[in-house]
Amino acid sequence: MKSDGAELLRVADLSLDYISPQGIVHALNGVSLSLRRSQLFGVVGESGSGKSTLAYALIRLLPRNAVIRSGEVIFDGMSLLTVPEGKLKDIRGKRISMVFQDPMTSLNPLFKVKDQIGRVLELHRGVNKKEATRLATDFLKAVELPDPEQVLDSYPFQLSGGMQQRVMIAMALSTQPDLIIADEPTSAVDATIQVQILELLSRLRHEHQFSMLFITHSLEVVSAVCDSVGVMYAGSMVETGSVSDIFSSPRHPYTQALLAAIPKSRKSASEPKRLQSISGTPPDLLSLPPGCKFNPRCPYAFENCRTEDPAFRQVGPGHEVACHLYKS
Amino acid sequence: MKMEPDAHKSSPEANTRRIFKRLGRTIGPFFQEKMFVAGVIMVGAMAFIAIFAPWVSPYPAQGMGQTAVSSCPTSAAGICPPSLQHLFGTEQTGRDLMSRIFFGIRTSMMISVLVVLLAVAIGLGVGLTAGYFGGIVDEALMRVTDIFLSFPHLILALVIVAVLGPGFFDVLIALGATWWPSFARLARAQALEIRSRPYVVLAKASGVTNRSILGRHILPNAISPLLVLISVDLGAVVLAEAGLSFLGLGVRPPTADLGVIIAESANQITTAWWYAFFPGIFLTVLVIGFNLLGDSIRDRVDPRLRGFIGTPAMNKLLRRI
Amino acid sequence: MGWYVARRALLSFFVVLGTIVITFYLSHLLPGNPAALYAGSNPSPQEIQRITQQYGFNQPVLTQFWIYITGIFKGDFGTSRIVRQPVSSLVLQALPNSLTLAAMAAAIAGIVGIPLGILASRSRNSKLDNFLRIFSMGAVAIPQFWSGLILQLVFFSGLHVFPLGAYGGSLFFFQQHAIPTITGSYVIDTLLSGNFAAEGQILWSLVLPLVTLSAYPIGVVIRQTRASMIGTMNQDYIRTARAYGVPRREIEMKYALKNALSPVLISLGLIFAGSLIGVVFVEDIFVLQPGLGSLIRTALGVGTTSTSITSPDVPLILGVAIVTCIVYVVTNFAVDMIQLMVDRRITV
Repeated sequence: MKSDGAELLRVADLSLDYISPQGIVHALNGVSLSLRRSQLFGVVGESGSGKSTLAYALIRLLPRNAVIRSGEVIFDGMSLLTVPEGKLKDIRGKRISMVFQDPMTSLNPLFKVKDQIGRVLELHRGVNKKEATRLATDFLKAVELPDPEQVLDSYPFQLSGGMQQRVMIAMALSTQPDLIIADEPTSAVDATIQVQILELLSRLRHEHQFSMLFITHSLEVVSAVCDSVGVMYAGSMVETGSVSDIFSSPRHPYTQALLAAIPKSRKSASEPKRLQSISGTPPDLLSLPPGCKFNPRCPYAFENCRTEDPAFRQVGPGHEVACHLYKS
Repeated sequence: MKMEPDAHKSSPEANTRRIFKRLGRTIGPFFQEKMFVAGVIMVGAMAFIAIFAPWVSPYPAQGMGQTAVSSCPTSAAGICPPSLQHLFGTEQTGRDLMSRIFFGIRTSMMISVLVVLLAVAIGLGVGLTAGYFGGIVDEALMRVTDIFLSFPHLILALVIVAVLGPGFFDVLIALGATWWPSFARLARAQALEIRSRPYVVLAKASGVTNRSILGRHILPNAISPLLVLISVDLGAVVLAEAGLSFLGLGVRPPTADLGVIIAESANQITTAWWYAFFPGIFLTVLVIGFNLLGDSIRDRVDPRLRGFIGTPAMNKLLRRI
Repeated sequence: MGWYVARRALLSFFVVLGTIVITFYLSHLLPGNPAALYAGSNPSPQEIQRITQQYGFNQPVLTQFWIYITGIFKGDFGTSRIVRQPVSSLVLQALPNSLTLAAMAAAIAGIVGIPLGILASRSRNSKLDNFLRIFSMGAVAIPQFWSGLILQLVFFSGLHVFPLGAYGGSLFFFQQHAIPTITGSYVIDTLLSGNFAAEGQILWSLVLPLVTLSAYPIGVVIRQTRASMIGTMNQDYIRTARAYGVPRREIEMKYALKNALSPVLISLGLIFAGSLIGVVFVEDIFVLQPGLGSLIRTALGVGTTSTSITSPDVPLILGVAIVTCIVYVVTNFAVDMIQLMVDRRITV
């Protein structure tokens, strides 16, 4: 395995639009991030912040009405946005795999599990059917599924949500990729299962040494498993840094508001209730405000915020913010 | 959102103006779709012919049944090929074919509209009741609907007309009896969905009568999917009615009917091509028109992105980037 | 699961019973004298008397119904007034040919329509897609009793390619070639007897009728396949396949198709049963005897140029109606059972 610290994935100023009957939806507006080997990078944001779009854009898994306006995605020296379709097929699944949000719909209901994982293994590990089934069994064991033979012989709908998600993770692991992109892998399962899946992912990462891009809307999940965090708002990355930096000294007003909004448990019923929400509503991606996208809701907004889009600036080692409050 | 002018007024004129404005806003976007426009043109042309047949036909009296002495020298049976006096030629009793066809369109459209109205009335009644009340009422009504649905296409209509005898009203009843079940099914599905909506549950809990709920909440909301079915069925009924009269089970002469004309033309297909050709073309255009309308309405109701990718509208937006 | 099948079978049986009730009502209980209806035009008093006796019209309603329904279950559908033979034997003679035609049309619709539908779904809103959509729209709108005539006009009298009608081009083809009666269907029996030359002639004569008959189903299948494929390709599991680098063709042909095709195949089953009236028209125009088309023609009293019916042969029409209903209900049941077997998700 190559050494930690080497940069595996770099996204530079990625902008993407969706063309819809209602108009042009600006889904991504200048997103930048840097991911190292064996790093677990969490991408946090509300619905509509563009985090899922970012995930799909990396391997060009976008619908036909999506147009990449500008930016770069460099993966291990290759520009993923310009690489031809044929080469991309070698990367998809083999070097970058994905775990999807809803495993029930993400697995084909008319094919058995062994056919689905098996095909992936045949494609990317170059094995025959028998060998593929054997490997699949190993990976199902790795994701702590009891009775892997039974699971392999089942149809997805015969499994519980947690089991289905483990199957998805096994599929993602089976090709031994460099990077696993997980799009809200725990949002569709129960809270108790959620914890198990997160623990599983943490453990697997240390065993198998892959990098992970973890998309989520939950800050708690991020703090539990991730090394680094990127906070997204309205299609832009507003702050990135290590988990400790972000949680102890959040710089961007949105990040601060997000952290403040986490419901804190009271020690006794006599303590005053405190629930702090962020005023305003998320912006309409069809017509974004000029300047910093957060300015209508930002308590610190001033003149410059309404006219100029802030650039990503370093405010500490490995800690970057896009906010006019901070001049590097 | 802009406040509508005179929003506070509730005089009859202001209300009418408001209704028309809302209608315009709903129908307006439709005209951007080529399919819809084509459908409207086709159906509109046919409707025009149907309504104004006596004035548009070159020989209205013949269209309405009066026989004529054939003027062509070649054919013995009185069937003449298209000429300047008879643009579509004549049929076997010497009558002008174009006039017969125009009056035939009138028959087709009249019957199909009446049949669909009847079928919708019955179907809505049965379906909404079944869906809304549920339980044993639902079971019973749906069994009856299933029984009617298990007659293969047109067989029931065939039996009914055979037993009742041909004629305008018999055909109406026969086709109405055949077409109401599909409306009933759709209406039932709608009623089931709508009755669980919060405002209906609330109304029931507040003691509003069932009849009132059905009339004010269920019915208006159930209409829109029915529109697609209505449009498509109008075309299907036109074909069915023509099919029945082809077999001899349609309206009685001297009423003009396209199916009858085609049936008459069958034996002389090799000698008189125009006899079969023109009525069929008109029939086909009418049905295509109804189908186009139905399709464009369905496209409107379905998720819109489906038909969006690759269209000129999308390309226009693409160029802006 | 066995309970579910039994329940559905019972339901189907009940539905058939319901259709019998309706036909009973139409033939026995309408105002007027049913005997007169059965007797035809200008019946003599003796005729009326005889028919009243035969069908029991002078009995109480429930007795009449009992006679009617037990008759049906014994296979007795009455006697055809015009042909003077038992209706059941007439229908049994006509059914195999008609069912064969319907099955062939459904098969053609599937073989032609499904690939075209897939092609259309691949390149949405392209020229090919638009052409196919217009084509299927036209196919669905053209009256079958008219398109048959036009095809006869163009190909028989115009281009002199196909025969005007009848199996093998001649009304006496069956007897001429001494083909044994095994199933009752000309197409199948000729094949089974090994007479390939005759089979070729029969199939040649069936080109125009089958084109006419399958036009509507092809249109329906194209649109349905296209819609189903587009819907399936939008599903999450297809996205997963793409994310794992599965080649596009393989995704389409293997993973999407299996999911997309099941509603289409189901409707093909229904197309088979539903095209029986189309078969009637086609058999009528192309003089394909024996068949339900010619049977109905006979029952309605006159030859092809009929413009008004005065005395339909009620027992015959009722017999055809009931039998076609049974075919329809059985087909529906079979289609449901197949769906149950294919899609394991359906739990009962």
